[in-house]
Amino acid sequence: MNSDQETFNINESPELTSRVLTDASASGPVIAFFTSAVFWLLIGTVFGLIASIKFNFPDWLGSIPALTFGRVRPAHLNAVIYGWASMAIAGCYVWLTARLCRTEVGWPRLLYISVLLWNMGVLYGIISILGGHTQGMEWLEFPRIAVYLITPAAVSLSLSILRTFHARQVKHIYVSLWYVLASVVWFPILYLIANLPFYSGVTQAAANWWYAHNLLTVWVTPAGLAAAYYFIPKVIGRPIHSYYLSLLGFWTFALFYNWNGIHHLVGGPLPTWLISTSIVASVLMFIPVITVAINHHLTMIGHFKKLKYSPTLRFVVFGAMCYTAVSFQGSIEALRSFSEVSHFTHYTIGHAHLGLYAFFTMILFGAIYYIMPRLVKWEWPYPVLIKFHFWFVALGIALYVVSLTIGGILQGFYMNDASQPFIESVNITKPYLLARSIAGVLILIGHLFFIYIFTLMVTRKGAIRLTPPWREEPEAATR
Amino acid sequence: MATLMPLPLAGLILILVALLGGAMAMFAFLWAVRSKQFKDLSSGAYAIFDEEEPVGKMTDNTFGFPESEESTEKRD
Repeated sequence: MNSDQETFNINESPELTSRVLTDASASGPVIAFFTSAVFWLLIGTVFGLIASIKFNFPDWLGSIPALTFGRVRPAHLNAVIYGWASMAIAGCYVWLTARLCRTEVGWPRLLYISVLLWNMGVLYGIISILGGHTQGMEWLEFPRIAVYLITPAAVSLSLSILRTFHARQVKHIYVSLWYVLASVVWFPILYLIANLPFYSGVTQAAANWWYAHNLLTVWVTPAGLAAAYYFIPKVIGRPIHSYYLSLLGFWTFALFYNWNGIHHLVGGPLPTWLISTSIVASVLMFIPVITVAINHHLTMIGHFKKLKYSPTLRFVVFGAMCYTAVSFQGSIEALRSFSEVSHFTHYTIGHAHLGLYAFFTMILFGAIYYIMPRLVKWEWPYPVLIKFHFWFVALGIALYVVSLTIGGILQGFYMNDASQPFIESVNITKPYLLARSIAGVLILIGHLFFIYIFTLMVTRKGAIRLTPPWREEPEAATR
Repeated sequence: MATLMPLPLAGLILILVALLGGAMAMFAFLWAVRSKQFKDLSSGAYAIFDEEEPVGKMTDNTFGFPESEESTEKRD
């Protein structure tokens, strides 16, 4: 390690050297997190597609208990949330924090422990769900043993990131870092509180949705926004349009978003004031969302042609636009009048995927495309496959969201129409559910392209390419 | 799952945790104000750039460069 540092220090540019060192210190754990994330992405996608096809052919795989809808569906959700999303976030956070603090990753051994426990937790949880063991609450299906594995994994991650932050070499805390810090402080607390064993009845439902929505508040959304606030200006080489707005956005986000959970229970047997408070907070989310939307758009303006040259920019800008869309949709969806139609329909599933896929996952793809070459010291082989990846998943998720939005609204109107038999509200959705399965196939194909080039990347195989900025880095930087 | 303690007691603990969390966020904000994080906002946006990767330089060209349209180059 010391001899490596000496080799780096020979280089005349101290800033480049420190960036190379920073990236090198993040390399092992971040690659481990991303590789695990990509593995769970594949598992999660396959479960999702199986669940979707069951809507078209209800008897398919029905005779195998482990692959019945009631088990495959939560297996999909938990694999993508705790496997793909969480470990992609972890990798992204570790790298971003080191970069933004301009220092090496703190306590890297904790990160290896974290990635190990996290994988064990998710593996145990998914197998339990398929075996029929579940806590029975959405997003909290994992049995306790999985929780006991994931909680210390999350705490280890947070400790390492806070350690990196503590050793920072910069005075100013960049806006992305605010999101990261809030996220790593709150996620373990949230996860622990939600899994405490003393909720029952209506309280349990309230705690359940308080948790599920706050997982977006403290974990998924900050990760997407932190990455967007870093990668958009960094890739195009232009600072954020209004830095003031970006910080206003962060603090209003922190103030309003954590009240939103109970809007999932509009019409439920909870005190009206509780639901109303949540609806008000949901509408207030327009403020942070608009600051983000204006900022990202005005930063990009005049630079849209750069989308042609950067895969990272393509994925991140696509995700940032979908963030505006999904947040506006979410604020409206929280209203009682709108919920009368949309609640309990496929519309909600479309909304969830617009958020977790079109916004979050797309931005994280962009982040991985940027981070990996700098860790592996290898260029992405076959750029054309990245284009295939982008177009397959972009068209796939567009078809997914559009079909479920239309199908869900129609379903809602049919369910509210007392003159229609209930089965009509099911029949009306059939073509849209078929479109959803086709969209799922497109997304799976896109993921296979991604997984193929990701595997080549990790193993440093494939067509040899070398383009700046790697050309100008010291030779010692390559392994 | 058997309940460990009666709900009112659990609620009390959770309310305390929530207040503590709120206080924590407020202290973080006050600390940020005191340590002048919000003082010079125009320069904060430049924190992600440096001499090697300055403003005006694109840092991801996996699909090629605006000038040459050339994306692949053989290693020597």
